[in-house]
Amino acid sequence: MYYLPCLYAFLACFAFSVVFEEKRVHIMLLSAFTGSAAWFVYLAFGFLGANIKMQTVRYLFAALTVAVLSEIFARFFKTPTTVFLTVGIIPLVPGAGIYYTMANLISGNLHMFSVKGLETVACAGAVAVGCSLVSSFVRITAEFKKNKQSK
Amino acid sequence: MENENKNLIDADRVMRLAGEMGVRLIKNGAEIYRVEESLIIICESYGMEKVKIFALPTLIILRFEQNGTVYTDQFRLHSDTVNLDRLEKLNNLCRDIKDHLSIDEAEKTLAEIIGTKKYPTLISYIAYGFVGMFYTLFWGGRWIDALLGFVCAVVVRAVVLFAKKFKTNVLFKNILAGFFLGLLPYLSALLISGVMIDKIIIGVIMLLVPGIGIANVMRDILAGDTYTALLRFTNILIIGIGLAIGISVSLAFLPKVIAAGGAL
Repeated sequence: MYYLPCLYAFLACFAFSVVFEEKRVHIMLLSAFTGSAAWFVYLAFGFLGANIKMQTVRYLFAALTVAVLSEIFARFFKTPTTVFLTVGIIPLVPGAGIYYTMANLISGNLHMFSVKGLETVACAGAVAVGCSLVSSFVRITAEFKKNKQSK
Repeated sequence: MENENKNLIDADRVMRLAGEMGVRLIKNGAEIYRVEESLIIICESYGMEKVKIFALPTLIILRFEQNGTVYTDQFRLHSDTVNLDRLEKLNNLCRDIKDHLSIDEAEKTLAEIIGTKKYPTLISYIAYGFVGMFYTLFWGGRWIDALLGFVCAVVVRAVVLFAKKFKTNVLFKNILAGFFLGLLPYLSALLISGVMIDKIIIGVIMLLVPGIGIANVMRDILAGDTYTALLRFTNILIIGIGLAIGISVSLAFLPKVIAAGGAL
């Protein structure tokens, strides 16, 4: 039951790939799988705890999973990485954080507003860093290969 | 000299093809560095020299030389949708051009790609509904909340399309969407006891928050496209502010919900 959200993430990501006008079914299934794998990793690192620092680390690991899987699938099916990344990243958008930040602001609870706000920004930042780490690593290796070939 | 010119591809045609290609790539959600790489590949495959390109999410400036004559043009565009199907096809087309596809074929294929049908409206509405429904469950809502999430997502989609039809700006569009996003769960909570308003809003907000945009800001900065990153970041901020205002408006009228939000 602890991992049930992974199933929901899969179904939601599948619906999201329809929203993003993806037509090929196997790509839709794989990008949905990417999304649910990300959430699986996030949950699997649950033993780290739920304070801000550890939340960020868990989001970072999940984002790395999405990025690596997207790169692998993209190479395999010869499609742009964005195809998998756009859908796979969706479960990692800290929607709850955004909402609670806003709710606290509306109710005037500025202490909780700043706590939740920082938490949300940290999580979003971790996701962004995770994705860009992988993509810059891939670009560096690609350039390295090109240089080797031209020599 | 005339014989030489006959073998050359018309530079205007290449310019138009490359420009249209770039515009379509950005419109359907490609990364900027990929657009720049693709256009350079296209122009060089058709024999253009010294290709220089500067692309933003709203503008492409392209310049190349043929036989010492300089050609330059710029293309204005508005990017707001993601269409992965077309993106893949454009990517394939670019790869084909690299493998010596003739310019006639390329123009034909590009026109075909632009004419690809999207999903019917009904299916896209249902897909939006399911996204709202499953994310409500994902964030810990129950099935009754999920059903309301479905309805809420469909209504929010209709509102966004309505706003788009009248060409409202990003801020107002999101204020409107945020307003309905807050209003519907509250109204249903009045009718049905025990509805988790927060879970529904969190579930449906996913449809409006540009998830990939947040990741792309960082990737653009690392790829060296700082202007693009700034533009995207500003756009995300405006969307966020719009949603916050919209939801606040609907929730500020409803003191009960504010109390619930404060307790969280």
